Amino acid sequence: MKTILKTIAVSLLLIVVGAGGSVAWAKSKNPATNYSSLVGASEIKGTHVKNLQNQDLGQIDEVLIDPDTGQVRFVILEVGGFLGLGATRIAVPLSAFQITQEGNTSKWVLDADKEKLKNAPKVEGKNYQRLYIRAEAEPIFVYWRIKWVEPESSSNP
Amino acid sequence: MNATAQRTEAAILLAASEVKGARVINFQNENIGDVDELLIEPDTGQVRFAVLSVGGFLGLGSTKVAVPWLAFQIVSERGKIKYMMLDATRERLEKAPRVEGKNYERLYLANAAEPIFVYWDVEWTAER
Repeated sequence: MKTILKTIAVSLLLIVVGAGGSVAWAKSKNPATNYSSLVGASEIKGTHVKNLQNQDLGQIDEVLIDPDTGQVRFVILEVGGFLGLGATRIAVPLSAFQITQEGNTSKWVLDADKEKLKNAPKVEGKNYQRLYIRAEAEPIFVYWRIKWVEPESSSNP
Repeated sequence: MNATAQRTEAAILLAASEVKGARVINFQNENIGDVDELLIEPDTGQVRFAVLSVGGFLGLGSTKVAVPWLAFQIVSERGKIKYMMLDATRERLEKAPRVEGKNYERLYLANAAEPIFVYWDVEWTAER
């Protein structure tokens, strides 16, 4: 059943792309990010993230991809040191970051203070499957004030 | 071939670090190489290309080709990637657009990226 739904979702997405150019992608385009290169996933891992106050929040531990669409859904951020807690990992939607080029490297900024990070939805272990489910993923988008984009939603305007 | 229909078997999220190193086989069940890197477009979050190491299969040194993500079928097991399938015979790989070094900036540009999508029969969707 899940597979069928998924296939339908992918078909819908293709229809949108076919009818309106890159409508589906443009919807999730991040205006705060200005970057004219592709970035290797292995270069992203280990990148330090700062907040708007230029404090080091931690580093990127993983990039989570929806295999059907090739969209990066979440970035896993390790924030232990900043919070003064143990190693805490949180999932943040990619579009919550401002990514800019600095020479050959990238600078990642996330609008988050200590309080915001402390209350952020956490990730336990490497059980990323849970994050695929809308009931789990959407509250994280809401928390980070990112518009939830679901391929299925293109069918009900 | 409709490369994007029913590409995966399970509803999962893939960890990029687990995709790196994943085995790639063709429809003749030959081992053609493995995934060396995933190239992501930062402003849209789209994985544009997987860079494949195919040197061994072609009998050459370290040969790398960039292939659109949507050209693959991903086979997973219990939430982990098992292998990826690509419709690529030896001839098709030999003529495929190659990647030299880590010059990924070039692949951001439509005039470099679009021909690769065309070569692998994947619809080009960016608006640059």
